[in-house]
Amino acid sequence: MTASWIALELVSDSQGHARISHFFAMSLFALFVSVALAGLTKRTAQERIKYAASCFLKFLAVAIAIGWLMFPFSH
Amino acid sequence: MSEVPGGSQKDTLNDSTVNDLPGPSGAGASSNSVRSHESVTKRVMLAPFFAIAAWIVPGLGHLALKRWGRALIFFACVGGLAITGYLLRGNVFPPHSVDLFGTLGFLADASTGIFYVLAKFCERAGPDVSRAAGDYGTRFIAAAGIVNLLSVFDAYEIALGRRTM
Repeated sequence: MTASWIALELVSDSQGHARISHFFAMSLFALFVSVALAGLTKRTAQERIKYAASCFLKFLAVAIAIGWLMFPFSH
Repeated sequence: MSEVPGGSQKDTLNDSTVNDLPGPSGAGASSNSVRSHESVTKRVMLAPFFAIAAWIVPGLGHLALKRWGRALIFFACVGGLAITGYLLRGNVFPPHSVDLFGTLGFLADASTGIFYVLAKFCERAGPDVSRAAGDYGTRFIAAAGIVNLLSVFDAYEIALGRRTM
């Protein structure tokens, strides 16, 4: 929570607008949601870390794949 | 992060042991049955309080149930999502919305509990959805509410003794 606050403060301009890339926003979202789902569904720390890492990587992989699938429609 | 098993978990085990016993007649079986019934009634009565606590402060319901790990995870994740959303200047839906989308948005935002109240302090410049970052922020805040709703249901189920993990 504090880390995301600091990161966003660092990337904000003088008018308070966060200059954040799509990828960074998506990664942050994926990280929080993966950790929450791991906490909800798994019991031990080891299981949680494994599940959160797997879920986070899947989030990124699917987002990048969908991004490439949509690439032809951007022209 | 290992969790300390909560009292409700122990109660569940005791109750199931009691209920699984073949039914011998006598005073001992009768007193066990009464105790079990009282324990279930107490649990059903207390469960909504744990759910409300989990809604007001993300993780508080789990903390009260002695699930330290989950309490910390939910507080950090819900808080992280909500505060990131506010810093991105996402839209916080007011209670009185004119359309169904606004009402759903309010329900999702209000599910963050205390973080909904903190919105006015964190987002002093107000929402700005004219930029992509503001739009992301709106989704972050709604996602924080949905994650907290999951935590509320989880705390409720644990308090009822339906969930042992």
